[in-house]
Amino acid sequence: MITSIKKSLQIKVTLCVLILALLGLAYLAYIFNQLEDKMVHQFEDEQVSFVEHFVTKTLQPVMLSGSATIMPSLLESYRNFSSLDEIKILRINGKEAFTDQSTIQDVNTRLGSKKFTRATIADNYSLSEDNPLLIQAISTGKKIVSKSTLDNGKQQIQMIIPFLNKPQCQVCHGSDHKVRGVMFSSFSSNQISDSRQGNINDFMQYSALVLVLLVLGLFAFFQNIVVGPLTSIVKQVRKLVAKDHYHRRFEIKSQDEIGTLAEVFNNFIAEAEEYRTEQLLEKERLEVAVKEKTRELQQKNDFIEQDMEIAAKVQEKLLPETLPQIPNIEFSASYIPCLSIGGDFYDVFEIDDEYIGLFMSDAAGHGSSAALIVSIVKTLLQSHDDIIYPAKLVKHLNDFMALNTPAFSYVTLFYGLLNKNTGVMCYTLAGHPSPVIISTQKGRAIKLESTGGLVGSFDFNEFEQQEIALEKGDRLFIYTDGLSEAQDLHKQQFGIDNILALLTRDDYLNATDILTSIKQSLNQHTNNDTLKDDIAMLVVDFERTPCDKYLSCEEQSLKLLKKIKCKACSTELCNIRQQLRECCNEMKFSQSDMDAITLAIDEACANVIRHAYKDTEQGEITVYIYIGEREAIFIISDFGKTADDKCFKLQPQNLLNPGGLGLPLIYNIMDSVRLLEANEKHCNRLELRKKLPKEFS
Amino acid sequence: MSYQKSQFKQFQVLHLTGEVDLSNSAKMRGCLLELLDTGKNVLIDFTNLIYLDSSGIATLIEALSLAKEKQLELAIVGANGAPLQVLELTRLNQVFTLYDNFDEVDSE
Repeated sequence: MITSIKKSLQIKVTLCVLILALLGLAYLAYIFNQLEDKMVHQFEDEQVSFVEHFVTKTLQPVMLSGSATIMPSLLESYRNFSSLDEIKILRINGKEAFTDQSTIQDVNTRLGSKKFTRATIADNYSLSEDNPLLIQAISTGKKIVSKSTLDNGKQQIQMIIPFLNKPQCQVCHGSDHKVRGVMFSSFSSNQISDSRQGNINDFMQYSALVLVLLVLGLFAFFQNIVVGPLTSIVKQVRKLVAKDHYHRRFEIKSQDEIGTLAEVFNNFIAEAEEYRTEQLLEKERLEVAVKEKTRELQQKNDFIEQDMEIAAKVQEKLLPETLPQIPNIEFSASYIPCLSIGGDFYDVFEIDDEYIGLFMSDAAGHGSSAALIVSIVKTLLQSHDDIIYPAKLVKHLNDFMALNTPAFSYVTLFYGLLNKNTGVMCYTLAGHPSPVIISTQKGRAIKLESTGGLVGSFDFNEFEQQEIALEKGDRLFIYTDGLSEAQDLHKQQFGIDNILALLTRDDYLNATDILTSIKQSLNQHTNNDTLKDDIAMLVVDFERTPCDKYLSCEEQSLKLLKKIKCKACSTELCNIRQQLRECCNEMKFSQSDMDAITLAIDEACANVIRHAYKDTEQGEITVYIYIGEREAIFIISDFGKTADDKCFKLQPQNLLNPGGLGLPLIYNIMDSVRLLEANEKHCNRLELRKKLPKEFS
Repeated sequence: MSYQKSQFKQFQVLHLTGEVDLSNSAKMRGCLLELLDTGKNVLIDFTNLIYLDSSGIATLIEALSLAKEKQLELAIVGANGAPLQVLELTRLNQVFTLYDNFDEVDSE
């Protein structure tokens, strides 16, 4: 409230005017009070002088002229005429004159024919003899006027006027000049006539009206002269600031200080407008310039982005879409890009029935130049005759790059030529982080030795090659420095020790599982931060298949004809059947047996998809096809929901139960159906056997 | 698996080509039920079908029971190779009416 009063001139003025109005009203009330008092006094004086006049000029002459007989009627008429409460004539003994019979008779006798009649009301009047005023009036012979307040609060005025005996009135009162009686009268001050009261009231009303009008006028005056113009100025200034109406001017309505204020504001706005116009022009100029620059930059940026996008696509295309499927070797690779395009590249390719090429390189730099180098490497790699001589191939690559690319373009690389039957690998390792072999048989990790420096820097670089033999169960891990040098928040590198620790763990299901584990560990290390360099990883599991460690001794001695690995997805079934038919053909099964075996294994795989993985399409199915002495052995393995013997118990065939048809078919077709014992990894393995045809020896 | 529909005498014919397995038996089911809904007798042409698994068999059984309910005829024509073997293994050859070819249907 106080704050709003402080803030609003209008409220201040209103308050002032209200205070003025209150003061005026109070003053008016005071004046009226005074006026009323004065009028009462005047009325009293008038009454007193009137009564005095009546006594001296009327009663006394009448009395003295010996016409006392008309006194009672005279008093009566006077009482009615005036506004006196009472009027009576008292003797000096205090008794009222002209009231007792004897006096009337006495007077009548003395006056002869003139009859004196008694006043009818006189009986009721009495005045105590010890009335001090009366005594005082009689003793002094002077009139006394006294005021007293009655019980009802009214003012009463008593007047006592003494009658002096005059010598002329010797008939009744003798010849001395003493007081012979008094005229007693009283009246109330509230007996001021109604008309007078009415006049006062009217006057008061008019005065109040005038005051109200005056106050309203004053308010309007302030409003019009001060508050209105000021409010209007404030409003216009606000509009000006909010809506940029700098062209507006204040209307100057008066020559006073407010008019001057408006004029000062107008001048100020004119200057501001000028300044603002300049500013706007400057801003426009700047905006145009900025837009122009932004457009140029955007164009350049678009161009670069487009370039990067193309480079990224090129690099993505260069990486192999699928890795070779070889029965006794499992490959898994992963490429993790960083923000800019990196120069990492890997490839796994079958050269002939015997050899597999394992390649990984890391080109210096990032962006499209790195992608370009990668594409050169890939082209040379796949088109070269020396593909089976790693050192020669790398030398060619080096010489080509040294000759055809700038000196700062170089790559580090690993190229290995793996004999898939013997496990012997011939390789060249040039400036690249050493691949690691985790040997299960020897129980240790072996780092491959370097055989040369950076590739592509100088044409005089020479490269050698080394040979190493992979043994059953060996795991080869090839990677780029993006992995080992990935930093955490404290610039600590991920490091080779971390990598080795992860690689030597014994609980991986398959090669892909290792890479998933490494990626998880890496994410923890970098706190999911963006990588500074891209990462390529390649795992080669030599004769170390996912469920191999769970194979029985018998299985390990069996000849593995084929391993079919695929996603647990119904669309993969067609592919499984195709490979099964090929195997059955190899084992010389008749067309009819081939169809039946294909059906049985297809049903088993369909059950894995539907029941073990519950149609989630997450997970893998692996079908091992072994050739035993007299039987073909099919093992269908999965990592879905653990199966038990109950699942494979043959229920009485019910044609109306559509889901239950697969198992009877399997039992019907195969010679033996057996759920192999579960192991700690919950790998479900269903073994199906079928007698080999005689034609197959 | 792909399919075609045609009309042969009083039959609606569903010609199946390729392999029916878990991945596409639902498609065959939809097709068969749609045909049966028309209220006409249905022939399923297996001539060019090379594979049929238990989910396909289940669909056939469902279609047959529906046809019987509607008092319609549901027959298989031209079953051979693996699909015929499955029908035999499941003894459904005794449940379904099998025709070797359309001529046989015609002469019936």
